[in-house]
Amino acid sequence: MGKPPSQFLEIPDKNAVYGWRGLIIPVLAVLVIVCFLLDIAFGSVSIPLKEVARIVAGQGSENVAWLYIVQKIRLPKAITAVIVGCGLSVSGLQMQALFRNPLAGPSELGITAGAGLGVAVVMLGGGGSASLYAIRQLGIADSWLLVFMASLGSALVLLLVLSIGGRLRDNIVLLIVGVMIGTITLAIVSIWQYFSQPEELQEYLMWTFGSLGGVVQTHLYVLAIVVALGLIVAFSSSKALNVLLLGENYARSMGLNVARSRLLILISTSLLTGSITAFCGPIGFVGIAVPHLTRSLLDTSDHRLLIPATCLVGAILLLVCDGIAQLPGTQAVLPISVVTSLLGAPVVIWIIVRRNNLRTAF
Amino acid sequence: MNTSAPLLSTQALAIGYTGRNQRKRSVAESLALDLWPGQLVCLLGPNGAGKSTLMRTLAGLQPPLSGQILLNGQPLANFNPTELAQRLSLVLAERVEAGNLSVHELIALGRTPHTGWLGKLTESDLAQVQKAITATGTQKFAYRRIHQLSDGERQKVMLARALAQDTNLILLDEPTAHLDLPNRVEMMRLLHQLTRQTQKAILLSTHELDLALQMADKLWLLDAQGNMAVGAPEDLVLSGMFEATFAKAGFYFDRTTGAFMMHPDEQGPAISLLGDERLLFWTRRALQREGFRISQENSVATVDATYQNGNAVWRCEQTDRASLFVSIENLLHALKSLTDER
Repeated sequence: MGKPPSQFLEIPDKNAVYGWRGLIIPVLAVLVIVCFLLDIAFGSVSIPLKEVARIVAGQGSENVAWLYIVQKIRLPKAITAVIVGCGLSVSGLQMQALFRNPLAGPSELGITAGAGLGVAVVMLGGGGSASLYAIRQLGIADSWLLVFMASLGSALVLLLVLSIGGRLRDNIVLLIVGVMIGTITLAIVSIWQYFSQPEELQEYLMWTFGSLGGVVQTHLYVLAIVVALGLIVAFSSSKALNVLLLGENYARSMGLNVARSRLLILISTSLLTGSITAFCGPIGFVGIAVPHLTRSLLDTSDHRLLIPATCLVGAILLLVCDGIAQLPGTQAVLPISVVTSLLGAPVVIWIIVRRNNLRTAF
Repeated sequence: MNTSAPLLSTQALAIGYTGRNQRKRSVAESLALDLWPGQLVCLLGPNGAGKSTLMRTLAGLQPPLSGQILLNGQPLANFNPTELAQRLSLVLAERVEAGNLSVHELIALGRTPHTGWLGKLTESDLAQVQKAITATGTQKFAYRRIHQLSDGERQKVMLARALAQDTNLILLDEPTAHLDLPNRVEMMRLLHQLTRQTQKAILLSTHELDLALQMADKLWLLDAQGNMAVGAPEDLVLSGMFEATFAKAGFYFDRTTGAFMMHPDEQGPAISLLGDERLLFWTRRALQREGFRISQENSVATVDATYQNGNAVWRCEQTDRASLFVSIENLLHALKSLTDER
């Protein structure tokens, strides 16, 4: 074999090839802020951006109605949108790496259904109903219980899917198993609902549509703390997530404690999905679509970069979805989960078609 | 490096699986093996003999049924996953699907057992990656994506990753399984070169009998009954062990050529063959394939293969006539019609 010409031996400068990626994060961060302010500004009542910025910055406003709307309704809702966007997206990203399956996501594998079961246990078991109104009335201690049960429900379903899915090599089969387990979980909740009052049923239906507006201030703290915890655990597993890209055997041969990493990923995913679903209801397609969007945007599989970027893209997407859900200029509001599904499902189809071969989607 | 002690050795090792009800299914027992620095060892055996089980057991991916594996003189079980990964790396037959990773990123993952919690690469880590890239000749596609690589390139990258892991011992489980012949040769040549240049010990399981015979310092032959024979390739061939391991009806191992041959049809007509050394081998193979016996006695024809003015020609003499052929194909055609006449 002849020696290749010397210019081929030069390895291109890493920064020259990948340097632009450093710029993506700041650009996304700016976009998050812009979307955040726009989301607050638009709704049934439009508030000038300048005023919004003033109120958010804590400088108050002369218009008391605007001040009230922003502080009591739109600001918590926008913050919730950011938290939900970050949490669900990162949860989906982790699941895709854990199952090595590009079609994995919290709602697709029935994890949100598991969280729903946890919520039902708290709400119905306590004699109340799993309604937005009832959840809003919860005190601090009860909301911790709610988060705990929802996360536990998520974790149980995840464990179940993991133990069955571990034996399956097929992407689609895993998905079907996830959908089936989700259906079973929902059926259990339905039995519970069957014996509930009609009004409660309607309230529960409202909860299943998902809502960012149901989170009151005290819950926001709980939600923020739990999601932050989940994100920290996720980021600390980014090395493990990278190594797991090569499969379990290789990961083990490179010194990864696979069982411990899986446990951490499971805990993080359950905390993120569980707490968000508990307060906001099941919100579909964010978890599966955002990681793919981010991957095609950054063109990388490095989770140290993907996790922060996925957070930002998820936050942007949720803020945009929330903006659309307000149907600006009208009094009507669409359920958030309807908007994310309308926007997210085509994205998933687009990715499957464009990538053609799903296995290269990572 | 200490070359007076084996890197890896086994004592009374039994490998296999523990099934349900704790029932043990043993694949091979009382194995006493060792791997020395600078050695390329090939593990050969028919399908189902337990090569992969042995590789997985030595790599610590599955526990032995009994006996001990010593790595650097210490029991394998004493090492935690990171310590083990700093001493032993692995290349598998499985096709890695990590499409969006670049080659450089994937090779850098080999540094995992040496980096911190976030996997940040230091200057010395990058230097190791660089060294691995250079040693495997993967510079040309260092910044390509994994899904853009051919299978041969992919396996080279996986080897580079194992090199970046910087272990004294590399185990490869059928690394050439999905590769075409030139890539298989290239891979083996690379491994051979590595043992000579770096004093690493390399163990690979393979079905490439030819290549293993040429390149390996030592063979571990595992037959279907779980018996292990160890030695230099040539010794194992001459003692008949090599042939016995792969014994199957219908073919035999030709010790002179070092290749497996179909059993010649002993009943066929005899051809007396002579001529140029360079042509004899292939002419003999072609004739045997067609069912002719190579023998002087009672031969129906004499074939004389020679070079004339640099061109190969085959002169075929029968009792009453002689003809000249410029290709083996023509020669076979004529001989076949000759036997059909009879």
